[in-house]
Amino acid sequence: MTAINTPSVASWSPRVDPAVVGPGLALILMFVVYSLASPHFLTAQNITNVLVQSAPLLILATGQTFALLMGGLDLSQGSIISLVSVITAAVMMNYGIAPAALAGIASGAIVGLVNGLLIGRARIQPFIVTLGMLYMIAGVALVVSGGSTVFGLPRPDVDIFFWFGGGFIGPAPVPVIIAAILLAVAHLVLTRTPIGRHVYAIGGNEQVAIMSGVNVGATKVFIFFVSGIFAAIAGFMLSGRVISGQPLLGSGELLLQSIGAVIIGGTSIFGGSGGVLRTLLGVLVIAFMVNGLNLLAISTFTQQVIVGAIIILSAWVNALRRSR
Amino acid sequence: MSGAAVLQSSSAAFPSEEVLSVAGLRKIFPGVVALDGVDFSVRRGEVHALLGANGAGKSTLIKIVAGLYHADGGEIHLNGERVAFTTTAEAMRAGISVIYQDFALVPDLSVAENIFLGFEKRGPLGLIDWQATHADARRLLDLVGAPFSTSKPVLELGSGQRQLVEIAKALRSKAKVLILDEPTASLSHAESERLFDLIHRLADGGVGIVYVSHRLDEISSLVQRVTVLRDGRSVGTFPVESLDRAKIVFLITGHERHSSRAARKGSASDAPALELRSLTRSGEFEDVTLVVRPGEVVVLTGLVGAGRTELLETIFGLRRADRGEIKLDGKALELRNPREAIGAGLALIPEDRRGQGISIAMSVYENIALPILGRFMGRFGLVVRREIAHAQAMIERLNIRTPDPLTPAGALSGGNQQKVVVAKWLSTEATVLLFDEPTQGIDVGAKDEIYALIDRLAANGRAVLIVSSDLEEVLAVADRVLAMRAGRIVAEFDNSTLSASRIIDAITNG
Repeated sequence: MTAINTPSVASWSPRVDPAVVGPGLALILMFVVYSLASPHFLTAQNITNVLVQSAPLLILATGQTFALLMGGLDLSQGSIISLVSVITAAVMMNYGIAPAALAGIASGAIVGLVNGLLIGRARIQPFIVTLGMLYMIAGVALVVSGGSTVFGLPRPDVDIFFWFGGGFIGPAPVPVIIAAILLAVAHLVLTRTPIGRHVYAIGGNEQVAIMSGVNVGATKVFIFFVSGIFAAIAGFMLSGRVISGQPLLGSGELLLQSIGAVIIGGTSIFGGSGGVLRTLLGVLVIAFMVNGLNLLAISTFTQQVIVGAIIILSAWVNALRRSR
Repeated sequence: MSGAAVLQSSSAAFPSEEVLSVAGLRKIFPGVVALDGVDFSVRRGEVHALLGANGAGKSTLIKIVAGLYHADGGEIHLNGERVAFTTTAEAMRAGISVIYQDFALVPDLSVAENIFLGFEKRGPLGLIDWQATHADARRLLDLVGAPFSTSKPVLELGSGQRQLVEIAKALRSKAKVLILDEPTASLSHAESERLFDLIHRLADGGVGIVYVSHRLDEISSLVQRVTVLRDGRSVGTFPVESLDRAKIVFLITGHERHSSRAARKGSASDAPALELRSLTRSGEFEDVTLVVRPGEVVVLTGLVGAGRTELLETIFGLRRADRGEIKLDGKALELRNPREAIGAGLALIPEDRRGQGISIAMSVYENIALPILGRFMGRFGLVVRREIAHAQAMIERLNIRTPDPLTPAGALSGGNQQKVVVAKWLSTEATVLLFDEPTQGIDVGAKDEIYALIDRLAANGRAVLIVSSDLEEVLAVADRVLAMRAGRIVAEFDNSTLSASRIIDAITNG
């Protein structure tokens, strides 16, 4: 290790990740087309709106990236959002914002931990564990709330709650700041820590990881814990925006968008290659695509068709790139 | 043996009619000439042995005839007609059936489904005719003497029973040529006897049979002629009566070679670095006791299925021993996984390079750094620059041919991939290195580099335990050789007693 020879180090320079070229060009193309087609697109107001709206998705997809990188999948993210929403609201009713935030996010983290233990220790397939958890936790959220929305949160707690989902620090939206910090942390964990490298190693070839002394079980627990806690933070943020506890908050298309964003960004569904910066790109593609179509008054029904097509197209581009 | 009388009549019934003949066959893999002008022929009703050391080209020859590989030169004639199969299905339809050494069965499917896989029996509407499928499967199983049910899933069968299913599958269509690649490696004595009977019956029916085996004792009573391959060339074809054991060994090895390398500094007086005492995992290996001293290279040799890989994996914590003791530097170890083994100072360079050795999707530097990431931590986490610098140093030290450390490991040649695996484990500075078939499937140049490296490792005082089936390799690197057969160590040779013929004798005499 002491034999660091300078020429080899100097010859190393960061390369442009070829996987980001596709979604990157798509994003640029969208900006050009939408700017020409609509005067409302390229405005500070609109861009800020899109970023605020896509912040929870970015957090969700960042957590999801960990699961996909190891060759897994976290289907329970949507249900975690619902659970966090109702628990936060229910606790806030009696104890205020701080205990509520703690309890809400802890509940999501616990679900992630249980996912991780079942996958890493009991060695059940991620798809099956998180599918089961999707159902169970969706049910728990309905049981906790009695099936109805938790309204009428106390002041001033509810204002602080909203601040997390829609507040500003100066010109910067709070959700965007939080999402950016989490993205940066996730990126550093994946690129700068041994456990991050282990995530890639397991996704690349689990047997090689085992043979190299990687603690595969513990790494998997970590991965699903991260996905769970990120989903919990996204859930807290979304509930803050609607200032209520909603048992069906995460039952919509958020989960599918989260997986879709990771794939559009170019992370391999088989694991081993990709990263959260690619996911950022995937989230921006989805968010701006939808925003532009809205501005052009194209119906949400048509939008769904287009988003679906983009997911398939990006996977196809990746397949072509790999086969070359 | 039982079929000897039948055998005489069979060769008389079909005089010298060549059903399969191969002339000047060439096959080149990147960096290796696997076949360099091979001539070979089988007559109708003949049982013909194909012999040769590992890497002599037997498997390549079989795979070309079976349509799995394409020859780079030479001709193949079947019943006098020139053929060049592009797929295995074509070869099968033409009447060539192959029973491979590694089973080509789907574990979850039933015996009958496996036998007719790809050639399903159809009834009206194109649906599978299960009645006919099972009836025909039953008939084939009876033919090979397999008593078990046709609806049993293959995963419930033992390896001997699976071999019988393979044979039944090969007999599914009417074969003109039947090729068996070490068919008795996993069969019991009784099952082998039944197989020999069947081979005789098939030969009597006019099938030309190619029999590949390492068990020289089987040959004399089973076959009429013997062809020996060495280094991708045919050494010659001989009537079996003209050969004795010593002559066959000489033909296979080419010379009576003794290890010429000077003894290393490791001496009997040193305390063992690795010590196994009565290590047992039932069904895999029994009562293995051995020591490896610092600076010593010990080779475990034997046939496929002798339990050697399982032994190495047990030492490395991938499997648990039923009984016995593993000691490292005199301390008894209870290893539960490779992580603990690595911590104790062990390293395993596995046989299955792409499955266990390197991650082809990861870059060269990521592969090399994987077990030792902790060393590259700076104040703000992993410092990729240091990982790359370390990889660069290893690339230069081991002469790994790669454009740079950031290249995906999968883009390298087999020999260079193997050097990446070695680099990874050298980085851990393990005191005991376990190599499983270290040069399998890599070219001669890279082989020599790996041997030189093993030499240097031993010279630096590391203890090296190698599993190898390659006789040349055994002779090239070993200070001591332990011969394993059916899970037991049956013989030990040191520098003064080591020779190819003694090793072959020890590992084949059952």
